[in-house]
Amino acid sequence: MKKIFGLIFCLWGICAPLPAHGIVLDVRLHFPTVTIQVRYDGGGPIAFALVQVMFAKEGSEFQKGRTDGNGFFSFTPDRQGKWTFSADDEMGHREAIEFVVDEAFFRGKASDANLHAGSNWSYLIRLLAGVILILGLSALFYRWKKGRPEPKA
Amino acid sequence: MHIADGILPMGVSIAADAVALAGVYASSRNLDAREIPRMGISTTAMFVVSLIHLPMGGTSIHLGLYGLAGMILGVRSFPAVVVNLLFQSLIFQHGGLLSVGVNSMTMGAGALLSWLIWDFFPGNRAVKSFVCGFLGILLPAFLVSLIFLLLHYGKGMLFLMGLYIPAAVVEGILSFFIYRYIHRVQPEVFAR
Repeated sequence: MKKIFGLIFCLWGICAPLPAHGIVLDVRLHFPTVTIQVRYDGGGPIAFALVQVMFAKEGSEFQKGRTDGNGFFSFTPDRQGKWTFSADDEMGHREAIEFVVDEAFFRGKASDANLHAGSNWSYLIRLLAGVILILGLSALFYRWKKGRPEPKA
Repeated sequence: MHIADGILPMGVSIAADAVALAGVYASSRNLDAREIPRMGISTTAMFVVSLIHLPMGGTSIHLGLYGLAGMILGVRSFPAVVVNLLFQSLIFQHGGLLSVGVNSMTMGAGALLSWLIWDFFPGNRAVKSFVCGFLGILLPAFLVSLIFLLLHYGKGMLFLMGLYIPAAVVEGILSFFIYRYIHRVQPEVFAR
């Protein structure tokens, strides 16, 4: 069993430095534009991802398009309020973020903010948490099941 | 290959969740406690390896080890795939939480096909380990691309299948070497 665990830890070692696969959105509000980078969790930009910008209050579509080759998309908001940006890589992965465009943004003053959609936990911590949770739950289930009589053949 | 929430109609996702739950129940009946550590370790291996990504065609594809799970766990691979996908969704946001059912069915199909090949098809086990690894990921890719085709979503069936054929070859080779290794150090892992 130790060797099997060794194999899993080898796989872990191989994959730990590699980028994961969820979508991350980095939003930069800098008058007069909002720029969003769409990338895979771990770094690789998503080129030509399908994106949609909505004005959240009215639920109306403001703009639709694709990111550029480096995963960037920019638009110019025309009013204050809550906006929603969603991205889709057309491979089954989607992510959305809500952000507020306030008065300060239109005054062109210090409304330079960076927002981020996606987990704030580091990749390795999440990987470790997943491994511990799966093995821990298996151990608990085993303990619970072992305490019961064996099923009849 | 994980389907995110919002791509399928909500009714379809919920129905798929119900079917997957029924599948977990059916495939876990008369579960022996001694099978649980093997299921836990296989689930962990699937969870870990699914984070290995190959950048390809402007996107990234990942491995799954569903074929190997089918070889080791047989019909019990289905609940292992469901648990793996649940944790991937919760921890890495790979695939939507509501879409766990449909993802389980597509990827579980790969594991169950491998089980059928491994247990019921005659032939050299080393060759079968490659075939199981190869088809264990290619069948889910085919099913996902079929779903996308029916939904008129995505970049097309040929694009997705074209991306996953190299991944299937990598997975087949990986399954072969893992089989060889486990067969050498602990052959009873493959015993039913």
